[in-house]
Amino acid sequence: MSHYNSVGIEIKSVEGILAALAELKLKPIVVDKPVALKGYEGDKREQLAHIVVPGRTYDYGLTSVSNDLGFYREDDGRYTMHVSEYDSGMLHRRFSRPFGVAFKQAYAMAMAKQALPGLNLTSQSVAADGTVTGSFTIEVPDQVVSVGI
Amino acid sequence: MAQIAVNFKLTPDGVMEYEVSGATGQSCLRHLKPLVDALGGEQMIVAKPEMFVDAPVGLVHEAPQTIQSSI
Repeated sequence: MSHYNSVGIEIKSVEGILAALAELKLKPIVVDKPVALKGYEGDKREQLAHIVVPGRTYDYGLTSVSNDLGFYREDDGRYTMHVSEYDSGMLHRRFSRPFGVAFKQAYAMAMAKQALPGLNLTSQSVAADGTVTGSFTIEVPDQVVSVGI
Repeated sequence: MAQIAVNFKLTPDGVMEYEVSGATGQSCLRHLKPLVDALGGEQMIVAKPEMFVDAPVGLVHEAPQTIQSSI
């Protein structure tokens, strides 16, 4: 049985969390009343969550022995993320950086896409230290602006 | 419609930086402002101020030539 780790995150909107998860191609379920997360054998854990990414929906390209990933809404509106040690390692491998890092970056990119609806990501790569670099284009009306490094 | 190409960097802390040096117009920052607003946090901005005379007050600073927002 893999131990769960919990970490508080600053994002208060469920929409923001869902957008970040979508950016990472994870498929969450949102519930009104918190539910117990399940381990890979279907066993209920003590950790509760309002947003659950079922372990069976992960796509590591390996075996399906993942535990649920979850986000619990605290009384002050902030969320606590619960992720098992096993899946922390697997998610790290999948995203080439710690999941917490990938999640923050996914949130920033999701917000960028929402703020600039015409944003078209043209390149993206992850460095060894977790830094993501890339480029995107946006459409602007009737003005020609040349921008680059 | 014209197209703006932007190079970006997302740090491990979730800070997004945009490199926009070499801009030939004044509207670049104005178009990126919704992005800065959406991400919130500290905003440390761009390029040569004379290129961005129409940019919102407080959005333009001297070099370094980056826009930075944090979550």
